Amino acid sequence: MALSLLVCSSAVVSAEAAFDPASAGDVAVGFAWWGNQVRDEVTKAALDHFTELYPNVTFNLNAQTWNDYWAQMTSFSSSDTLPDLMQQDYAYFEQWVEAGDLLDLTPYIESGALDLSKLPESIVETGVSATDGHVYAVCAGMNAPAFSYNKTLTDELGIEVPDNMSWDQFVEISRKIYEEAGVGAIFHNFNSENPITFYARGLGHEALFEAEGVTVSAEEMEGYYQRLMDGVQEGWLFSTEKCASVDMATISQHPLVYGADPSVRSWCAFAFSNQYLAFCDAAEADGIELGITSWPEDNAATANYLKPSQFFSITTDTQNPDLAVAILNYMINDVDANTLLRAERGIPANSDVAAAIADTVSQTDKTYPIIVNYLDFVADNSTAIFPPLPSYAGTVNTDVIEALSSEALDPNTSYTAAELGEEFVDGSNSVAENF
Amino acid sequence: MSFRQWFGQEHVAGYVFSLPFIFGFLMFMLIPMIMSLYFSFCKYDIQNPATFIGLKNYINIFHDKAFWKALRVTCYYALIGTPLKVIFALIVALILSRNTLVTPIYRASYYLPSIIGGSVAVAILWRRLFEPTGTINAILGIFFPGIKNFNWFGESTAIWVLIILTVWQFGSSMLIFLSALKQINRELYEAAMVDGANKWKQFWRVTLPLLTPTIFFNLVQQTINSFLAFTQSKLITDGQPKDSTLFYTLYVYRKAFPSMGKSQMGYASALAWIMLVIISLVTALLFWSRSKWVYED
Repeated sequence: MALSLLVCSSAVVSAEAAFDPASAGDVAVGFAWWGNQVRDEVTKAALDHFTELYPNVTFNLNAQTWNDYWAQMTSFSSSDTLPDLMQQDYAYFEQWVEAGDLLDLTPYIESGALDLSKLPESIVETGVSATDGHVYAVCAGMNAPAFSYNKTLTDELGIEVPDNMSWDQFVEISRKIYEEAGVGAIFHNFNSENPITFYARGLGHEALFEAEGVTVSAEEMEGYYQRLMDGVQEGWLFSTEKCASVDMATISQHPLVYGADPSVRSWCAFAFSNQYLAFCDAAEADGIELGITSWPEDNAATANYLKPSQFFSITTDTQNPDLAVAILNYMINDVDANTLLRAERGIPANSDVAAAIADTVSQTDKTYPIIVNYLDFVADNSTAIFPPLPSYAGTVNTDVIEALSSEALDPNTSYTAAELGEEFVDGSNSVAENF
Repeated sequence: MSFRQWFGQEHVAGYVFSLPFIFGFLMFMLIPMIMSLYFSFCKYDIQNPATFIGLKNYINIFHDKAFWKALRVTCYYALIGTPLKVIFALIVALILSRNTLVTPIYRASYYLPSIIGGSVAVAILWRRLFEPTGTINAILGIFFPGIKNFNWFGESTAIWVLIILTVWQFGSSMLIFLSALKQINRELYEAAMVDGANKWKQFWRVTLPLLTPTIFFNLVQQTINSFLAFTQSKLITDGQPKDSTLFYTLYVYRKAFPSMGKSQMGYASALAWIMLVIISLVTALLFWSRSKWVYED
């Protein structure tokens, strides 16, 4: 009896789950993401494969850079013309749930149409909205902050770049490289909260942003800005003006891997592990080899974190939710799809798929085992990630962090580090208050 | 009156023929403008409904450092770049006003930049040219060896990269000058020559005064264009460094479509309306100055 009930219920599940994409008729499905050249190619390859399986389904692909992606998606959202599937980010997806733009995936998980059983519970939870406890986004891969550096150069100079290096160790290495090779070091994008979050975590805060404002004090931020000012004064850190002369937002033109003269090159990039593949692609063209380790920070092992990232969501503007769910399921659970995706978005969250593709992807991508190793290292040398960001955080990035980073990295600035620290705390809290 | 008769009336036909324009004007100009005026009094993030907040956006704008910076940058660009461009266009027009076999080719090739100048491809090319290891530095390095890897994208020089680009797009002003030059009565030059005026005097006493209406027209048009410039600032410098190339339109765009976080469409709309007032004032000022220096028959 119990057995037949079990069989019966599973039959019901699979009957409901078996939405056949071939039955959807001739449809064009919108699919949008941000990323880089490599991601554009692998995503297209995986979706082309889906079209081969179901010739009635074609795709309208929309690839943007991070900076342009959100601007475009916001305007699509206002005209209810969002693509069927869109890439989402851990930090920002709550804002999209609140606006009612994302499809609730929980019913599809319950019906079995979307199979998340092979994903660790902790990873599935990262796509759950705090508003109603339902799943709105599925994590495509695991990531971590990753410091990429020019290994060819450090080997030439006989420099060993240690894991979990402290800020002082980083400064010492940078100074040496600058003196001996004339190659500087470029810091993060100006409008990013990532470096400050990492710094705050090194000091023992779990997160940078809380509902009411930032966790760090003005004194703590003085230390952060003082580091940057010292680096620029000594010359090895890229100044505001020097940053303006290079393109740090496009991986293939990042000064780590692009530039004809040492004076426009950086020996390192503060990046994420999923960008390592694209960096290595560009480095190969440049004739150098890269290394990977943790971002420099005092207490790096506390500051570091594994980041579920590169989420996929289905938007409420989709006309074919069942088909969109089938495609999402394919992207997450299909071995062929993930082989084509080359783990570019991070190690697949589906552990069976990760194991199945490890050999084939390792054969074509020498970087894959390196990234797996690095993530293993981070797993042992990190603390739990901060919660998704409150909705005012993005505005702090563009309105506060960018202006203050520009000042800190300007050797002729009229500000002191203490003033910048105060401006950061006051400015961020006033954004939070007026939001 | 039958439909045919009614439809055949002259004023009805007129409206029918201008319908495409009327439709476009309503849909893409008037209605969006009215909406933006309303949104400028709202807090509106595009994704959620707008809430009315009165004059708060306008009040906040006047306390916004980035607003003043963007305004300064745009005025600098417009007030330096436009006269330079007009002067440059005039000089080239004077050179090309002589009729030889090859001048049509030169005219066409000098006009090209103003067609393609606003394009994305040229913006990216321009960035490449002015890179520290770019072509401009390589060429300058031949004459000034000390200039190696000069950073054009510094705080004081980055705006000049954009000004040089706008001056390079002198073509449309040049064409207007060329046709105006042709309309100057030859007899005036002959009379001047009889009175013993040399070429230089002829230019100052005949050509220039008769060109002032054209100069005025070019100034007004190019000034407005400069205030509305966007592509260059967005693609070549992205407003960097330290907002020293942050054009007003780029600032409006960033507020409306930020790279992260929520859109501040209400604030952006208010910024756009302030821009409208500023451009109107500048244009009014130019028209007021007209009687002081423009020669009219």
